[in-house]
Amino acid sequence: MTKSLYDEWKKSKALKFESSFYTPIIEAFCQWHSSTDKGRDEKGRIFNAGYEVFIYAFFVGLYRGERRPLSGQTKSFSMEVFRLGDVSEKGTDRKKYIAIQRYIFAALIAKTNIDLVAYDEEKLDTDETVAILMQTFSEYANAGFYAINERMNEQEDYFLHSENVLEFVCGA
Amino acid sequence: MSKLDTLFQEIMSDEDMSAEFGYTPADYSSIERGSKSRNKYVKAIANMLLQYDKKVEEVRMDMRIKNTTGKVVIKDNVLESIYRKLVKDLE
Amino acid sequence: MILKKLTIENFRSYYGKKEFVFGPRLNLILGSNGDGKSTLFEALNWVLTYKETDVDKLPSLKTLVSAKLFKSLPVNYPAPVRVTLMLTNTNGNQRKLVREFYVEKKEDGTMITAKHSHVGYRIVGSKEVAAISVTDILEKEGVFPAKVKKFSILQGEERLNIFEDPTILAELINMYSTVKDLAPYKDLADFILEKGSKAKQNSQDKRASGTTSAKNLLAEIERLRKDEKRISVSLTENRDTLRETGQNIQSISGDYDIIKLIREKKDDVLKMESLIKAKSDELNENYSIRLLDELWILAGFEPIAKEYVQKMEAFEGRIQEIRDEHNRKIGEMYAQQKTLQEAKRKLKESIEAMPGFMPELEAMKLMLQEHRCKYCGTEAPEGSAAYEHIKKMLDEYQHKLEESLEEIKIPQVPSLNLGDNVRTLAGESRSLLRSLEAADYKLKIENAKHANEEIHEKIEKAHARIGSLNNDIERELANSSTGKDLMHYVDDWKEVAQWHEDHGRAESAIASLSARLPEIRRELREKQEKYDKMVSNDKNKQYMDIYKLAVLFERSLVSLEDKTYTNFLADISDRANDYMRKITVDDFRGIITMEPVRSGKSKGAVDVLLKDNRQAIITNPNKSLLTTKCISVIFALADFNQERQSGNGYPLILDAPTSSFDAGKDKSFYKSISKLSSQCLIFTKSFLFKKNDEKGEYSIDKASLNEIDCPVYRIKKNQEGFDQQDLSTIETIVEPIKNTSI
Repeated sequence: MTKSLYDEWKKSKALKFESSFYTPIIEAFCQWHSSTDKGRDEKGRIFNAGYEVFIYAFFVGLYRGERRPLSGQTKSFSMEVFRLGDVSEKGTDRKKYIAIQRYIFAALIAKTNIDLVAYDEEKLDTDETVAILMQTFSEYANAGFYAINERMNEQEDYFLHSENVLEFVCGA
Repeated sequence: MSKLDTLFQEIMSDEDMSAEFGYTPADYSSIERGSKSRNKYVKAIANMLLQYDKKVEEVRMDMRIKNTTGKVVIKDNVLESIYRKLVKDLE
Repeated sequence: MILKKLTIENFRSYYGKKEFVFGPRLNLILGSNGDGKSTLFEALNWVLTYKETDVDKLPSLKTLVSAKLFKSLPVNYPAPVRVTLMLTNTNGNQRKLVREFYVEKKEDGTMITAKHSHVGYRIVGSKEVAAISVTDILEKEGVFPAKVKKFSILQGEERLNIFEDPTILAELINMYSTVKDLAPYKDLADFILEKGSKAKQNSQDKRASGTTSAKNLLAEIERLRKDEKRISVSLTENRDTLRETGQNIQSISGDYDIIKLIREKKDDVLKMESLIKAKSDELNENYSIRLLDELWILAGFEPIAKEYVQKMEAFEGRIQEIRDEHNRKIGEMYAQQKTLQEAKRKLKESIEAMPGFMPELEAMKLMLQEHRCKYCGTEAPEGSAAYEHIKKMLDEYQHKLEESLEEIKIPQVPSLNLGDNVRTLAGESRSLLRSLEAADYKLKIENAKHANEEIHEKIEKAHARIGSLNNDIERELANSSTGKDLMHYVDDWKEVAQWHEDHGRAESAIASLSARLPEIRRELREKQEKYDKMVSNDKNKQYMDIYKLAVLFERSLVSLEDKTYTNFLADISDRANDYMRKITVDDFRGIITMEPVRSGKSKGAVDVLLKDNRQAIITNPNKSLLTTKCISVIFALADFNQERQSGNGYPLILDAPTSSFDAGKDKSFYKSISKLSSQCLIFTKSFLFKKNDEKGEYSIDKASLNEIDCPVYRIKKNQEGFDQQDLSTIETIVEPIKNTSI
């Protein structure tokens, strides 16, 4: 019997990104204090963990329909997909959002040419299939990083405004 | 009429006083006359006031010279001697 | 005493020699802040004071030197600093007072002063005829005794309330009243009473030591005395409390309503502030986090979800096909199997139906068993040829049957080995899409943003409301007569409430105690008389006399004092009310009444009250009315004094008495005063106003001044060469404006 592709995918650790984006975007977003226009003093950072920036970038690329192969030096987050959204709720006002994994998977399946039928027929190798999915994941994120970077070059403090972070991905 | 005369007259014109000691206030317009009265009470009071007034004026002048202000204070021994005189006068 | 001419030389900002000629009534000296009014005031004070007191310290000489003079002074060349005052004394004789010293600059630039003198002169015509000591002039000739300063030379509006000083009344009584100051006589009365009553008591006690009833009576008397004392003390305390709280209440009672209003507004402000806090806590604009935690990031995910569903359905379709195919094949297989079985059955049947010539199998078998041919009946015993023949045919037939059955084989369909991913994922994909549609993240985001906007609006409105409430509070404070200090009472409302409470309590206590006291005294008197009768004899008759005398003496002194004070104060207030009428003309005024404080902490002071025509105390007199009241009293005193002196009395020298008056009021004030007969020097800012002048200089309101008949001087800082940083450029210019004989 073939393994559950979803479960196998969730075990993967291959969240890859171009190293040059680490400091200016990933690290920065986790240290900057975002501001709100008026109202109370917002102590929050834009995101709390690096992988959250990755997720954000993924959706940026995804919604723009842009994917971009990684070039140059790359790094990856040493964490499995099943940890995405598994935030600690104790002592913070965060909520777990692991449901997002299903959606990411759905997007990856939608956007790759993996023949699931063939997979179910055991005609495809599990590891290779997962690799393709992760590559897609990373390439959309990469496109997202490029877009974010471009916007930051135009306007340094763009992402310091909470509303802009929202607008940039949702176009809301 | 000096201030002392006025004071004496005002005191003597007190009704209770004149009733108690049996004299007519109108008779005593000046302290001089009072000090010569045959009524021992009137005489005693007049002399007491005369004596006391001297002392008070002494102290006042002293204060004026020293340019001090405030209450006029008479020493106890002065008061004592006035009292003794009064007692004697009323025997 | 009438002041005639003041000459001031090199005294502080008065560089060189400046003169002022005074008229017999009102004299105005106009100047604004820093022009030299106070210096002029000090110069007068300096020349009129022959002995410093602790309260009234004169400045050190070095500070009196004009900086401009000192700068221009050559080394070792002494120059005078001098104030000269020409006046006429009560007898109409001319006198001159000169106070001066010399200042010199040493080589090293330091200042030394020397030859400080204060001398007086008798003047005839214009010649100094003889020198007299200043003390003689001021005290002996009664020109300006030191004690008069307290109500003649007054600097600033605050000092006008002279009766706050508890010793003033006694001094005034002493100076003016026809009866001498009674305080020492009361001391005498107290002394005699104490001694007398002790003596009487002793003699009585000796006599009464045996009798029980006398002893009992004495004990009662003691008790009553103690009660009397207790009640007296309590009365005094309560009167003090009443007075204090009354003053406090009066000071802000006009503002009582304002306080209430402000408290309400402050409460509103607090409400708004806590609203702001609550709303701010509700705000959640941490959108980046909400993108993830609340899955807002999926707002644009629908098209992709649909793509996914489509793909999965396509996969599902194909999987379905595969399954269908598989099922079809299995169906075929079963069909084939069925056919085979049918064939087998038919074969079996056909085999069992033997051709005509062959005996049936069973018959053959039977035949074998029975050893007889069924058809012909021949016997076929075992081993016979017929028996063997039948047996052989039977065996062959059975063998052929088995063979043909074995040949027929139906191919098996292999089982389907298919993963579950497509099936599971396809089902999930649909529920994914449904939950996405149901969640409607786009709407959620909009609602959240909208909610935050609303909160911002509410917060802004609350801030605006706070702003306008605070403005209202400021305005109310400005309208109140207490001003900014009122906030203290707004915050500490309990304090004000406490005053009212204490006031009420004191009032009722005083009422009941005042009623009780005479009762006790009456009882005491009765019992005392009874006792005295019980124990009297000749010897203690004498003591009785002394005692009675002392009591009556004291009593008459007290009532005399009362009468004197009352008469004196009534006289003064009558005159003061006269002045009030003249000064306030058409304005509202009250009726001045003056009541002495007879006991307690402020004994000796005088309450100068304003009452309306229903005898109620005016509780909210504004500042200028209060000032007018005080000035009326001061004028009344000056008047009074003039009468008593049967001459000129003392001039009033007032520095800035009307700073709280507004422009219209002070004009009418000075107009009224100019008609009064007392000499008066007033230093003031009135009648000066700023035009929209670039230099910012003040101009004189000549029109208003024309309505006032009195000498007017203007003093001002010389702007030419004036440097703010350099003291030595300060110079006061004296400009006669009108009616002066210079």
